[in-house]
Amino acid sequence: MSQQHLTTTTTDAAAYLHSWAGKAISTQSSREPMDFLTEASISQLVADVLTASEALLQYLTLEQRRQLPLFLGTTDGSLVEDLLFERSRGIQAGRYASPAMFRRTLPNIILSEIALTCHLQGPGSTLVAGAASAALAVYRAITTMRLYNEPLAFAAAIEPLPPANAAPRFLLMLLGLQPPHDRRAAATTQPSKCVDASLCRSAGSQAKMPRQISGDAGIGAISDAIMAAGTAKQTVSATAATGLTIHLEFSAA
Amino acid sequence: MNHRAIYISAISASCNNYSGLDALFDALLSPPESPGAPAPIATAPWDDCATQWVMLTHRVIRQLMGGGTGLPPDCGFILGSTKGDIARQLLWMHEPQPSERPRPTLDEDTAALARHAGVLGPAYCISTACTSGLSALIEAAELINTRAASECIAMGADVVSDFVCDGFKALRALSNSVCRPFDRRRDGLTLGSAAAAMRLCTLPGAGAVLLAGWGAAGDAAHLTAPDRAGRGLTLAIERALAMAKLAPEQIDLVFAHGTGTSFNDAMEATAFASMFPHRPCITAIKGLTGHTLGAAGVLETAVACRILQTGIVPPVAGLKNPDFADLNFVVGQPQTLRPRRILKTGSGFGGLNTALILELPAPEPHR
Repeated sequence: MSQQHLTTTTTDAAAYLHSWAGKAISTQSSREPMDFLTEASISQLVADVLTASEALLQYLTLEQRRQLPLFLGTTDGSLVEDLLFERSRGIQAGRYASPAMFRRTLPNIILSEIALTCHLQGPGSTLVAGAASAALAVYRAITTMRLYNEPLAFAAAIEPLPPANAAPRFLLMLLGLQPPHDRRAAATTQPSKCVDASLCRSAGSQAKMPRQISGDAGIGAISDAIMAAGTAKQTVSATAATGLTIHLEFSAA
Repeated sequence: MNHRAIYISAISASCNNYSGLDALFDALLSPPESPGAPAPIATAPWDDCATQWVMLTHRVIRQLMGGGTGLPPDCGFILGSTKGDIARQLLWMHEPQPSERPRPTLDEDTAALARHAGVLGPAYCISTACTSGLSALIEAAELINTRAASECIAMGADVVSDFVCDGFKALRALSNSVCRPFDRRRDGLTLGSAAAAMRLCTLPGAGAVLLAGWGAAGDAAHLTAPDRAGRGLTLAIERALAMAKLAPEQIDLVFAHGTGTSFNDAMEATAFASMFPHRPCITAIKGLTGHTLGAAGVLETAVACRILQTGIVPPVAGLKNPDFADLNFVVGQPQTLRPRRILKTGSGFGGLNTALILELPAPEPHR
């Protein structure tokens, strides 16, 4: 990686991971990414994300839901849906283009579906930063909490079109400025962990990143780090095509 | 963390046939003979939209950098877009075996533009449907506020393609004739291609405009239709006012999203009527520019900055017969109102709402 870091800023961006959920939609055999290019695959992914989101946020009050900032990181935006819509558009010169599929061609729609399902009215952003997309969502969730003194924030990441031999997957994280004090919520989830996030400024104009064939938003690395953080500090670094690099550090609270 | 005062120190914009902000502003002040004259609907084939993307984005970067000071090494870059360089994506989609070739992504579009601008700091894309441009401005301001960048370029860009046109047709959101925001005869939107960019910093310079406050909120009501009561937009405006420490009556002008669709305009009218009983003037420009999607927020903020700098408010483009009697639209002719504070709003698919308050800094007292 011919990348030149100019400076590294460790912003004051530490927080607590209250609870998280992640899932890879299982696959029995080796599959190519395009094998997941079906409406059923997308529908299953969205349904799983919504169910997991509601489970993660079930103890939030209405007022907390009204304020909760949301960040979604994704690599491909909506490329799967774009392909499906383009196929539907090809039928008789667009006469039968699918309005339901068109709305999914916007990268923010899954975030909006989470907001709709969980009655969330906080500011929401979909961030696209290649392999750093998931880490960027976490970083921005933490910096937003600190900037606005918000007690909680929600970071999510999805990979609808996965790398070869992998499966569509997602990661959802409820983060807080303070450790969770709601025993009910804490009892149902994993022990809380500390998260430190920092942003590394890279020489974007000089960076020559390999173009990514996989749809790896960094979800797998972050999930692994969270699971291993109970025993030892875990660090994840992810870099976008722009040279943007995000470092996340997970440790036991 | 403390919020810093963020200023817009440089602006550039290019839209459809208007190569710069001055040309667009002149057209808005001197609209075509008929206010309902067709907005340019540029349904471009792939090769055209590829050309448009490069032409528009590179032009605004060139305009933004021209004559300005060099960028600091930690300058950031935020692209707000719904589809980015869609021509590249369409070409990929029509490959016989698309999976064998790298997929074009918004991340790559952002990297290419950041490189073109000579940006060395943090760069990424934000995509929040039709509020992407306003979101890019907010994201850039927050990047500065968190000290991740000392300056930041916020850019909004999208080009019309047959892909997007067919989508809006499928949703029955396109006008059969022309875009008439807030008009009794409004029947939908038209589409436009645009790119616009702004340089954000913390030092007030000559002609700089202050980003006094911002807010965003979700409707959590419907995926494609706005909340009829305008609750999400109202919440976004309340958040922006609270951040700017302003009362609603301190807003001099509302620069509406004004798509010309039946539901969006009604939703905005409801929100404005409930938030602003003092009936500030309202303007909107999509009747001339068309809906430029992810570019709209930055493009319209650029026009709002020009309004603050000149004191002249263009009429709502395309509006002849206002539908909402309780609102105070600028109709027909430009007005010299010399507003000091403008509220710019945007709403998008997925129930996203964004509000931005722009302020002309008070002149420094003579010494």
